[in-house]
Amino acid sequence: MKRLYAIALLTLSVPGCTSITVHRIDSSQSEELGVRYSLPKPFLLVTPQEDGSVTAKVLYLPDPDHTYAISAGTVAGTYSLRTSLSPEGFLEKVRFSADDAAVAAQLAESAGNAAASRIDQQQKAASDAAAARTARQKQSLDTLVGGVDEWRKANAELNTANATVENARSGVKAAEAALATAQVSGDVSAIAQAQANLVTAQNALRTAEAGLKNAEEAKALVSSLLRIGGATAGLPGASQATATKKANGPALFAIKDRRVEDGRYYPRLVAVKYPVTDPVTGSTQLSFDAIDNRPSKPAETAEPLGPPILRTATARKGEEIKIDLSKMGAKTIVNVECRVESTEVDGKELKVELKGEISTDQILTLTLPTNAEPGTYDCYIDVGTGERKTEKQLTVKE
Amino acid sequence: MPSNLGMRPRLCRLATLFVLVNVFGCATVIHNPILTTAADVKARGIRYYRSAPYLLVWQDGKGGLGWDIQFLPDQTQLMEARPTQFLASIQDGGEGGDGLTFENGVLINAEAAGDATKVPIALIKAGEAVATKLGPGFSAGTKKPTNLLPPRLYRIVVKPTGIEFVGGAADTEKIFVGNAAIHGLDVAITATSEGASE
Repeated sequence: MKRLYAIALLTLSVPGCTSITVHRIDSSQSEELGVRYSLPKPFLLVTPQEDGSVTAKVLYLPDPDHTYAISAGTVAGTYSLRTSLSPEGFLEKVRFSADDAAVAAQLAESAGNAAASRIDQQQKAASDAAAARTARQKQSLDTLVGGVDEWRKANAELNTANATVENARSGVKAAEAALATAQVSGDVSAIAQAQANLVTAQNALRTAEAGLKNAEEAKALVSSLLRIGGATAGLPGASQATATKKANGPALFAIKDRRVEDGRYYPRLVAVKYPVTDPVTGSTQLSFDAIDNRPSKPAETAEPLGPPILRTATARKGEEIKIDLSKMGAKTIVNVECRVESTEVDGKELKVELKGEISTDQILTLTLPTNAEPGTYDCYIDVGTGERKTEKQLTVKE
Repeated sequence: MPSNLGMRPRLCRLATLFVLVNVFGCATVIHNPILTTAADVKARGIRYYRSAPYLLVWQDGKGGLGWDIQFLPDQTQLMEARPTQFLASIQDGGEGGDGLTFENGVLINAEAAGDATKVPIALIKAGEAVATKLGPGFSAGTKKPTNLLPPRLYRIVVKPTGIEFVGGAADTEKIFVGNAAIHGLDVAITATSEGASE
């Protein structure tokens, strides 16, 4: 009786062990079963815009140091584990249902369910990994980090596919020639062998052509994404007109927390360095010591700007200032924008509005209004390329 | 009265209680902090981060400052959620029946989701004070700078006496904005700092 009671205890206690298990994955080669997910690692993406402004955006990427495999197991029972992952591979939802109420009745079936669930998990893990890879590619393209590398990879795969098709075509031609030779000889077995070889070669050609089509589509997709991301300028063969539109590269900072002596955690922005070289200009990526906010390099087709003809200008109220724009190097002046910043003298804000006219010989005449407040102003003159501005100081006297 | 099972009454009662506890009602989710890498290797629960507020300040490239309060995963607070059950039918993960839902690695069933529209006014006022304080040194004035300084990130620590911003340029900067300033008792919002503040 005592033994029966112990068995009853054991029977009722053991089968209930249905639980979720999560293992840390230290290597991408790990054979641990389960759906992979990563904790996100926050980064700050700072992107200089063409107009000189800057945008800052928090971006999450999978953290390889915090990658886990999630699975469920049971001694006896049925369960369903449903995990939802974001395209980046982050865990979004875990729904876990277990039913051990009919343990005894479903003992055998449970084993089958568990095995099937494991297979499902493996298939889902493979599917999730593929989705994460696609998302990573798109994300890297979106952020222009590694976009050119993705394009090169797609281009190399296309070249390989082209070579494979050419080889297959050569194989078909050789098989056709062999068949013709066999038919001339009249050897039945040789003809049969040659026909079999021809069929094999034709199948290989069809497979190679399908691969070529896939590679062409993949390259087209990457190229379109790059165009959306604005990195077309960095691609070999990109048009010069597009290349002149490029802006400075983005700067990426990892957000880290670290503990210091006082026991507190202090956040820290750590600049991410990665060797990226522009295939057109040969220039390398920013050093990230500071974010380069200089205006974009002038277009190669544009005339180089000459030295500033006027660093400072002094005029009295109502006087005219003449600036020879032809000496600024631009052949064609599209428009001229002259902007004068307000200034402050003794706590009083001063403003001046300049009216400018361009003559046919490209002389810009600026007229100081008679009510201009005396003072020194910063003056910006844009000669129309939209990329270069000349900075001057304008002093207005009584 | 001696037990007819041949066991001592106290042991019998304990064993029965053990079975009853296992059969009925033991469905829960245990949350544990994971403090070290070794603990992370040993842990078997679902890992997630708690969230924390941060102040992000950057030069906007036009002589001004941009700032924002962001709720980010707090990488110093790795946690595990371990659903357990024994012979009880757990539907959808346990707590509340909704399963465990995460957003950017943060368990949002238990945490207040990072929602910029729900940032307390006190934090916004304190953030303004910090941006104002950083203004003269961090921004480039009226001139458009040719090189921008890297952005600065401060962790927001709410204290009984005010709000402290730690981090910044030298990682160990502290800027404190008191409650009096936040709630408008002072004429001007002021911030005091120590460390490597500009």
